[in-house]
Amino acid sequence: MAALNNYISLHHLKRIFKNQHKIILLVMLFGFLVEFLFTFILSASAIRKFAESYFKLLPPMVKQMTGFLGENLVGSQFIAFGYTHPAVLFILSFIPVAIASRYITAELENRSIELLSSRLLPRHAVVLTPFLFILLSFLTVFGAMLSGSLLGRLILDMNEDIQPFILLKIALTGLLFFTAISTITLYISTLFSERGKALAWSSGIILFAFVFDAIIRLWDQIAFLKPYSLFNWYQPVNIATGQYNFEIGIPLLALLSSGFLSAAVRHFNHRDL
Amino acid sequence: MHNAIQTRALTKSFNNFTAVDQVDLEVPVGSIYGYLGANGAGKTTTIRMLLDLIRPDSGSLEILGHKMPESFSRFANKIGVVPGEIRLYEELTGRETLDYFQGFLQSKPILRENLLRDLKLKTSDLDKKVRYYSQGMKQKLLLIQAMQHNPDLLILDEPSERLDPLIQQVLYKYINEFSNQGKTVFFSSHNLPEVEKICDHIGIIKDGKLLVQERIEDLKSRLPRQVIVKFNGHFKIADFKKIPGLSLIAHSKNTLEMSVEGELGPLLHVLKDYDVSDLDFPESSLEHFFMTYYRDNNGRTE
Repeated sequence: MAALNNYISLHHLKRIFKNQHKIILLVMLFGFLVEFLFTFILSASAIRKFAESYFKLLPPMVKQMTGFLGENLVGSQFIAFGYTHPAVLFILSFIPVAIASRYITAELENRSIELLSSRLLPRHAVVLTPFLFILLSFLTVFGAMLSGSLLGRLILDMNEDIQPFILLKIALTGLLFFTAISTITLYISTLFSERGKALAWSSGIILFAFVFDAIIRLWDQIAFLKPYSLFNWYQPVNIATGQYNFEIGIPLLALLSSGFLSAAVRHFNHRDL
Repeated sequence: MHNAIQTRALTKSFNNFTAVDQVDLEVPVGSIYGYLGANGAGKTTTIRMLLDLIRPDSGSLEILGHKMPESFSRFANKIGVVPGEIRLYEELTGRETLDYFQGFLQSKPILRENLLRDLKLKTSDLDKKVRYYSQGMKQKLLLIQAMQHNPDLLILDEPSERLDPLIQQVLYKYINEFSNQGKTVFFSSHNLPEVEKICDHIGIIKDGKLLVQERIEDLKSRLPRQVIVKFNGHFKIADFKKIPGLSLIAHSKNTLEMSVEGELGPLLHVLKDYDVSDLDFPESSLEHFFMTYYRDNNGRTE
């Protein structure tokens, strides 16, 4: 606990939690409902038939882009798709962008860092405390999403078995992927002194990564670039079908997370505030 | 420990602009040190280096006997800071703001209640969110958070800005009390009369260079004072020309304007033979010195 106190300020964490707990609760509820909805669609035959017809109508390009290629709904793939739906990705990506810019860059912009710094709050704690909050937020949000899927599986009449272990693997990979995204946004936030710039750069880079991934999926000639796409390493549908390369994906995401987190702490420790 | 703050050849540049240039600050323990300079002279950059917010390009600094920046965490709970132009957390109430900043420290906010009473911040004010505070109330809140834990060193960046004159007097009273208890106050301002009124030491910075640093009384004793005397009737100019240290500036039929270096005794001795209707010191010696220094960087201190 004493070692943790050297790196994290629980007092500072409490303030972030107090400000943000309602938003995180809302995102948890959203995640839970979305994943429950996906199991509901899979179980209710009329809606399932409607969804199947809808997916048949989708252009092949869109199916290719989402990674959801089946003509008929395959349970595990469909549930997995719920974890990578663009709305889910958008909302989850927004958490680290908003938190990092508010609790790092805005402290510089508003010059409240001058008081924090004169109050025994080490510089690395200014970076690591919001990081811990983001990590805890993703843990609870993915927990809520997993609960939505598992509860649906438990109480709804499913025709096919969705293995909880696969869902757990999807959630844990998602947690690691968004941890990597968080550290990238943390690093960007330490580079700027104006919150608007940090927000714009973080959002822009995530959007670029998303579009880059979509283009690679659509354009066969540049498919060889897939390993270089960040979003390629969060493919729940591939996890469900056993096509995800865990041997590369997990170490790569772990390396990205630790690399950007170290860079953020190091840069913030040495920069002028 | 003789100096609460001591810097040696402290220098900081931004791109090609030298904001602080070879500054050797010496702020004695127990002093009220006025750090004076025009806007952009380098006051805030110096303070930001003292607080380890920006790192000097060269030079060294010590605070309360600790070398910076290595040991900042050892003495951070002994200092109180009022930064300039800070935006407080608007979503917190006044009380939450005070508790939040105090919460990082081990000490207790022993002076909070007295400060709240003297600075006239009511309980109902403390329960309001900071976003509904006036500028003056925000400044009071900043002062309370800086002083509530009774620190050994107060670093104040233009603290009386936005305070009404009555509250300014309360602030001066607290600053004096701190000094009387052997605590040090480092006070940045561009308001010379204020510095002259409450500080016992002065440092004047211009274009990043520390031009002057000494006790105010010592400095003033060496500075010429401008005096304007109005007489009921005529006067003999020759009587005044022979006074040592006196230089005539202008005179008319019954008015004499002069500059006096050193004691006023010889002048007063001559004036007692005249019917004087008015005696005026149009600007303080320090103000005159400051303005001269700032105009041409050529004030006489020796």
